[in-house]
Amino acid sequence: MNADQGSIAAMNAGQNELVTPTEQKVAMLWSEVLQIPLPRAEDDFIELGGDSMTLVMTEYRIMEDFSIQLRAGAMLEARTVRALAQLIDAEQRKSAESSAPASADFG
Amino acid sequence: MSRFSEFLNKLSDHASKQCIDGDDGSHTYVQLIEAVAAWSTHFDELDVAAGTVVGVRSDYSLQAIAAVLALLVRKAVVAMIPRDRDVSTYLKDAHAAAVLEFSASGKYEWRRIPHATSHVLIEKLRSQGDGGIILFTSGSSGRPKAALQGLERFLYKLRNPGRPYRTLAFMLFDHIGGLDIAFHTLAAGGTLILTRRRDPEAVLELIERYRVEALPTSPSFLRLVCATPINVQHDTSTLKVISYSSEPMDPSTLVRLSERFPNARITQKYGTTETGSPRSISRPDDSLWLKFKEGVETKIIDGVLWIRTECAILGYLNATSPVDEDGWYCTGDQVDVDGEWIRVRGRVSDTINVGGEKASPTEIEQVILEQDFVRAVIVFGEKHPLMGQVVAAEISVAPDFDTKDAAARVRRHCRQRLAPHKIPVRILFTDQDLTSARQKLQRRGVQGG
Repeated sequence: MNADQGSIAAMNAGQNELVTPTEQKVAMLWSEVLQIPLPRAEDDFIELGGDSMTLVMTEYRIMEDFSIQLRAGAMLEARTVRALAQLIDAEQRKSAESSAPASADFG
Repeated sequence: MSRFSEFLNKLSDHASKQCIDGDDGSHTYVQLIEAVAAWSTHFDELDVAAGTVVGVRSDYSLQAIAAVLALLVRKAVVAMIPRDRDVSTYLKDAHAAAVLEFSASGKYEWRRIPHATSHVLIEKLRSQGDGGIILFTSGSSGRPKAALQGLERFLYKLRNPGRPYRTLAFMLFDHIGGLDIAFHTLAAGGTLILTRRRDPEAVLELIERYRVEALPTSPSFLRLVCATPINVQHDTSTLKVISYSSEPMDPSTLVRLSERFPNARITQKYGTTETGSPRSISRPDDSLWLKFKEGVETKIIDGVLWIRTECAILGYLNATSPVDEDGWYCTGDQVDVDGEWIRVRGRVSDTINVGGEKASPTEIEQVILEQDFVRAVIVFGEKHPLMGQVVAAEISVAPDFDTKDAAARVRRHCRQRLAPHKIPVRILFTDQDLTSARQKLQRRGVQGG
């Protein structure tokens, strides 16, 4: 499922449900780091009790679990599960494109 | 009578007792004294005068110990040269005029060093007619420092050398701990068990073969011993004392040690090159706490231990003096205090600052070591644009260990036991050993994020 399909699925499913696999993984991660029940898609990290330390911890975990690079503090601008999942998907697409073989450009 | 003369008299008193056993064969105190006399004659021929700085580069052996003693008899200054780095830098920093180097086969090479310079502290020793010892710090925080110790001051703590044990010479000969153990064992009339092998398997075998009674070592090595699977059962029942120094110990390893060596008393020594390894005793019920014996004054400033002792070094030859004008030395060790007992928490310089909150690597390491699959761990600070620093951990596990769920287990355990800012955000696994040749953890400074 790509990001657009994910957004459409999200609209169909109702705004606050976890839809894409990335959203589900992010929600499980927040639940573990913040020691809370599974959050919903539009829940805000800070409002759930996140602070600077848990934010940094979560960013490190995302970089490790999804094999991507995140700018320090990126989560301050992607504070909901859904926004963060979209950011992760975008970063994963970027790194897949940059590592694709050169011949693909002529495909 | 000088302390060194008293020391030599003690060696004579021990006469036919065994002074050396192990990989270098068996030798008595008479043989040691004869070897010292032979080296003295040889140094006469080589025209080694009092006050001459001579580098000695060797592992323990009868001949190397005898050569060091013969140099001290003539009030020379012996520079113990580590064998792990470039020898010329060490010799220059020690102001050495000659070097005596022993190979593993026992052959030796004597070499004069032209244009050796002197140093005001060495001149002071010469004018006092005292011999000296130069030891190098481990240099984990930069260039190794050449610490000069006067011979009479060094021997201060040997007035009552204690019981004669069969002691494994585990710490390196060029290390304060190693040199201290050698002098203590000889003064007490004990036997030094020499070895070229220092891995856990070999040490356990040596304990059995040579009926070792005392094992002076480091917490890092003892952790490795506890983590080593028992393939061959060795009889280690002769072991009476296990002593550790150099680094903070963790309670988990102490528990595992007492299970593995139920007959051995476990004690802690406080050893630094600068304070000359002053004598101390461990609290009987918990060796993490120790107190110093007579001749050592202490004070705690901002949680950091300061020591004033007659065993302290005279100064560094290649750096400014670490001792203030009143004779106090700041150890840089963060300590807890309980009456007259102290417990070392770790180095102040290793403290990690996470967004203004302090985290002690030792405390975090001790929690991670509670996991039984952890062989060793180093916790260090990593730079972070928002927090200043964050906590990272490198964990050594067995080569065939599946690390898939290990990070989650470590994080879960840390979450239960530590404040959030102390939980490592980055966890790396390795199957490599994390200790140096001196059996200490190879600490890192703050790493780039």
